[in-house]
Amino acid sequence: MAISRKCVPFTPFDGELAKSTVAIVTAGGVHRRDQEPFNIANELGDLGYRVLDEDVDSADLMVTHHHYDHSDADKDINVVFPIDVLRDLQNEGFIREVARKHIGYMGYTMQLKAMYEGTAREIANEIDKGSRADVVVLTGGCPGVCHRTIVAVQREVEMKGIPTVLITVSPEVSAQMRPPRALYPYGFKIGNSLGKPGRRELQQDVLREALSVLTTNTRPGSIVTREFPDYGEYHEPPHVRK
Amino acid sequence: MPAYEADLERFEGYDAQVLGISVDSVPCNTAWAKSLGGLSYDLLSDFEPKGAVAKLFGAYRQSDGISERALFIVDKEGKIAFKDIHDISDQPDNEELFEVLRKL
Repeated sequence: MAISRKCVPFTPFDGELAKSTVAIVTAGGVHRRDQEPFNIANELGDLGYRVLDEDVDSADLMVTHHHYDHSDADKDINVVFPIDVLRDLQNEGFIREVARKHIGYMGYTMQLKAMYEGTAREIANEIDKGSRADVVVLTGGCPGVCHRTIVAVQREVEMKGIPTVLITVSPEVSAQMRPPRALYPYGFKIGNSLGKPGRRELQQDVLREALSVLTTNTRPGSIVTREFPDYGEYHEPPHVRK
Repeated sequence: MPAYEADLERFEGYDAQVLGISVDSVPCNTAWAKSLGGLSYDLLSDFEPKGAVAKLFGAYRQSDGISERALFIVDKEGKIAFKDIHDISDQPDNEELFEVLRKL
């Protein structure tokens, strides 16, 4: 029998961020331009994922996803897939290095069972096998399904013994799936997991805060809220119950 | 509906049977299930007389001619053990249902 979502898989983070290798997983539909786009013609969704190597050029990345406004990500992919931001943190010594592999998938699907029992586990295996990640940072895409499926992936990664932290901009939706660790950047809009496009310092602050959640004594299944006044806007997050 | 499909094994673990009911006809329900990639549980048509079951459950929206988005747990004695009528855009947490089933 599948475990209850009230039971939260949790791998303690016993290391130091400055000695950690970090991978990114996003449900935001990110892939390289030369990779097959996600199939948005099929309303059932696309259960595939794309592996992105450590040296991927952010200029070669794009988004194929039809259930959130990714115009900001089109300008700066780092708002949902913070690969350049992660490199910044490596250069400043906040983390040791960027992992060998990262994953993009389109988190919207009607095939939830196949996502939870298939794709989520395959992504966790992919991270476990060749990324050399000590820590995984995850982001969602669309407000509803993406922010649920990304937690399913997160829980599978955590069950591999790799600590994780989710950056959620749809906290009530993510909370239903009980993420092992999560940061909600207060008032950030959907599609702005790391903040606004081109605002590198803000993006660095968000990523540092998210990674720092790993070093604090958080309750598994809960979401930590942090305010980033430099964002300068407030967007009401989606609610699961009106 | 995919959320119930995804948790079907857990519902079965509580000896619970998941059924979907709408006021649409059988061909409509069949097409809808197909559009969701198929469902392993049954969809029932409360089609003729239209909404008769929904009315009995207090879940018929007369002005729109459709049933509410609602969840019911009926125990083995046929009594309603849980009732939740909610907004169509709401996504209730299945864990609430498992809490009720655990105590039946």
